[in-house]
Parts: sequence; C-alpha cells; structure tokens
Amino acid sequence: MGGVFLSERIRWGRSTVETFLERSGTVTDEQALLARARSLDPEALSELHERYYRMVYFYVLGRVGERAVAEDVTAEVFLRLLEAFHRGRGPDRHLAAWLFRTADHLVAEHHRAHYRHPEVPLEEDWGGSKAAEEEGDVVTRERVREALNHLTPDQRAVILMRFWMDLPLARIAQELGKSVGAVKLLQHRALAALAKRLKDMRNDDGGA
Amino acid sequence: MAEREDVLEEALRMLREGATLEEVTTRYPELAPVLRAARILEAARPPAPSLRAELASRTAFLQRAEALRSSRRPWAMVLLGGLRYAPVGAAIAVMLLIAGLLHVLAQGSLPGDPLYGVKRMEEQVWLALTLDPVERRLVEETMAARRWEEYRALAQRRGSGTVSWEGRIEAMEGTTWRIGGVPVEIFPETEILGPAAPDQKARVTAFLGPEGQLIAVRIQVISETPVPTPEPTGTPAETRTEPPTPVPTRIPRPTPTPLPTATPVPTATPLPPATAMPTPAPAKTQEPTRTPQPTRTPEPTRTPKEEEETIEWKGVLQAISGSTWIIDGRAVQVTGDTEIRGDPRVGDRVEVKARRQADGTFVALKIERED
Repeated sequence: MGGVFLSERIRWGRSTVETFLERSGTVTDEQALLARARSLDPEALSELHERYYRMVYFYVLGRVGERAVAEDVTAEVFLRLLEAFHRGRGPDRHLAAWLFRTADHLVAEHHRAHYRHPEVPLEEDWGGSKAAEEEGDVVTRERVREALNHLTPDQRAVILMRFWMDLPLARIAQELGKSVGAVKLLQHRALAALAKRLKDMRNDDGGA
Repeated sequence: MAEREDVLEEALRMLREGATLEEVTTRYPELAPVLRAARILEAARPPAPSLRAELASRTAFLQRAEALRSSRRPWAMVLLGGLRYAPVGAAIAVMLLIAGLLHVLAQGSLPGDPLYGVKRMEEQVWLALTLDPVERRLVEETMAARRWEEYRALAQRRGSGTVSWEGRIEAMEGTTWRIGGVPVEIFPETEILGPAAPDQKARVTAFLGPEGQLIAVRIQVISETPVPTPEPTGTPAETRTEPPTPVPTRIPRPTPTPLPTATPVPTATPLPPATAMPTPAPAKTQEPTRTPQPTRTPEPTRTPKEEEETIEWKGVLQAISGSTWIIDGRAVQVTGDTEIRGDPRVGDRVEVKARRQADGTFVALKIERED
C-alpha cells in the first residue's frame, strides 16, 4: 500500500498537480492577480471571475439547494468583492476562503429573508425539473444538502472542492491557505460527519 | 492519525479509478461508512452552472467595476489637478519658511546688523496694526524696552563699557537731558535716584548707544537742595521721587576717582558737547581681556611742567562718539589741535595726554596707539 501511495503521490506531483497549478496559477500569480484586480483592472477582474465563479457557485448551491438562488448569491458575492476592492479592503491572498466566507454571510441573509417571506421556488432542486428526476435522487440530494449545512465552513469547503469540483488536495490547500495535511484531516472528518448525518437521516426516515 | 487519512486518500483514488465500492470496502472495511458517504456526495453532484447565468454574472461584475472606476476618476483628477499647483505651493512654502527664519534670526539682531532692518520693519507693522490706544502704548513701551536691551547689548559687544561723570542737570527736555554739558538719553529703564530737577547736581552712569549718543543707566541726584517739582517727560515719576540712598544700585560705585570732583558751571560750559569728570566704572566692563582690571586704574601721571593742567593715562579706546572719545572709562574731547598717532580704533590700547579744563572736562592733546 505504501508503494501504491508513493507512486500515487509521484503521479500527482508530476502530472496532475503541476499541470493544474500551471493552469490555475500559483500563489504568486494569485497575489499578482489580486493586486491588479484591486485597482479594478478589467482584464484581471475578468480572469478572476472566470477562475472562481464555478467554485463559488457549487459552494453556494450546496447550501441553498436552488440553482436560481445560487446564481443570484454567487453574482452578489462577486459584487461584494468589488465593493471591498473599491474601499481598499478585500483579500490580498487566499481569495477562495474570502469568497466562501462572504457566500456564507449572503446565504445566511437569504435564509433570514426566506424565513420572513417564504417563496415557492420554481425549481425544487439543483438537478433540473422535478418531473425529470427520480424521486429517490431528489430525496438523496436534499439529504446531502441538509447534511452539508451541518458541517463546519472549512469542512464544507474542502469536500465540495474535492468531490464536486474535482480539485486536487494541493490546490484546495493553496486556495484555503492551509497545508495538505490539514486538508486531508478536514476531508476525513467531513466525510465521517456526513456519513453519520446521512445515517441519522435514514434512520429518521425509517431506513429509506 | 496521518496514516488513517492517507488510507482514506488511497481508497478514494481506487474509487476514482473505477473500483467498485464493494471492492474498496472489502480492502478497507473500516472506511465503509466514509466511502459510502463520499459516493453519495459524488452522486449528488449538481450540474455545472448555466452559461447564461455565468455570463450574466460576469457582465454585471464588469459593469459594476467600470462604474466604480468612473467614481474613482474624479479623485484622480482632483489629485492631478492639485499637482499642477504644486510648484506654486512649494514656492509659497519656501517663502514662508524663509520669512520664518528671517523673523527668528532678526529677533536677536542689534543695530548695524544686516537683519536689524527686518526687525524694525516688523515692529513698524506691528505698531501700525495696533489700533487700540492702550495696546498701542503697550507696544511702544515694549519697543522702548527692546531698544534699551539692544543698546546695552551693543555696548557690551563693542566693549565700550560705561562711563560716569558728575555735573549739574542743565536741561530736561523729553527723553534727552543735558547733564554737565553732555546730552544723555533717558529710557524708562534708566534708574533715577533722587528728585531730579534742573540745577541739581547728579552723577551719571551711561553707556554709548549705536548712534553715538550716551544712554543713561543710572542718574543719582546728589544735590541736597530742595527743588520744587521738575517734571521731565519720558521718565517714570515713581523713580524720580525715590529717596536717593536706599535704592539698590545696579552699578557699583566707582572707587577710584582720579580727579577731584569739580562741577562744571552749567551756563558757562566752554565746549558744547563737553563731558564732565569722567570716572571709570570697572565692574561694568564686559571684556576684561581688552580692559583688564589691574590696568584700568592708571593713576594719571602729571608732567612736571604742566602739573595742574595736563595728565596722561593709558587704556583701551572704548568708543568714539563724535568728538567725544571714551578711553578707559573717561570721556575726552578731541579737537582739531589733538595730535593723533597710529590711527587708533575702538578696541585699541592707546596712550592719552589731555588737558583738564576748568570745568573738569578733558581735552585731548595727544592720543597715540600702543603697538
């Protein structure tokens, strides 16, 4: 197993990780990009939006469960980033962590507003029209979303980046400003918590 | 702990590479719940966001950025516009700095210094801007006090020291009195002991002002003749009414008196600016090296032929005020008949041969610089 793990690390190190980092940018590139974006450079802002939009979208969708809401909240997250840059604030590194925190605030605001003024969503889930989906899948996604909401923000960010965005551990560590070991630990704990929560929900639903 | 996370990572890799959940859980049974949760999570992966939504977000994002950039431009324009006036601002700042430096330096200047004119100009402006009569009087008093300090400092700088003599008060016109035939300026700071009035006998201690005038430091009335009420202007009344003896003197009385105290007759003074009975004031000498104390009391040696009329002494030429020279604290009158040798200047050590007049003043016969 150790040999397999070692070869795996080598494979990741030589191909996947390096290729991905070259494509997505290193820490230095991220700081340079943020420095340009801080001065509201259109090219830098465009690149920044392209690089992080899907990441934020998946993160928000994992919390709100509705595509339209997720799209609105994601767009709002980027507008908040602009406002922060305009006021001379905002991150100078680890942008993903900042975006996720801002998304958490906006999702909380959305939940509060939704609680005060309930609306009937046109789409109930993130998979498309309800008619086209099997009932079991809808139930599973709803359980997953609910279980995700019980994770810590770091755990949620790690497993969504890993299992929905297919990002390697090194990139996740870079984006969140953590070590690879810390990300592995967060991943393990997140999956364990998720498994327990899903099991509890199955038991509550009578083993469905 | 690290081993457990690495094992999980290995199990997840196997799943990604196509192994079934049963195969992996068979190999890692302790990870079965976690791997099942991972499978559920992957199965619940939502589809990617719609391109329409992403483009809409991008458009709104860039439009908002453009609006914020536009809102920044006015500030940039203000900044750039302000930079256009930077040279003018810098020039004004430099001028203010220079003016401040001139002001500070001018405050310590004395008559004859390059910046003294600046000081006097500032005072004139100050006076002109003071319209309230009471305040104006205070300003004038302040300026008079400044002049006094300046004159004293100047006398110290020149090393002219003080000169003293006795004579009758002949005139008290404004701030200029005439005592023993010598005009003397009276300042508010002048210490006047006793009731000063015309015809009263007084001992004067004075120093030489910047324009050659003698400025009285102290006037002590020594005549005991009661006088009605003379009121010279420019002199504080309270100082004139002081009794002569108890007032502390700022200048010690000169102990060596080389000449007998002969009082000049006020109305019959032969020389218009004559000085009367100069006596040295050794304690007020500011430059002891130039006017050393031991040598400051040369007892005038009288020549055998002119034992009563002519005396000689040596000392430092302390000041030249018109035809009156002050040598070693004594005023001596220089006339066209005076033989002057060696081009003596203030500060030089000279040898004097002078004739004593009937009124006690001295007329120089010969002044020679000592080399």
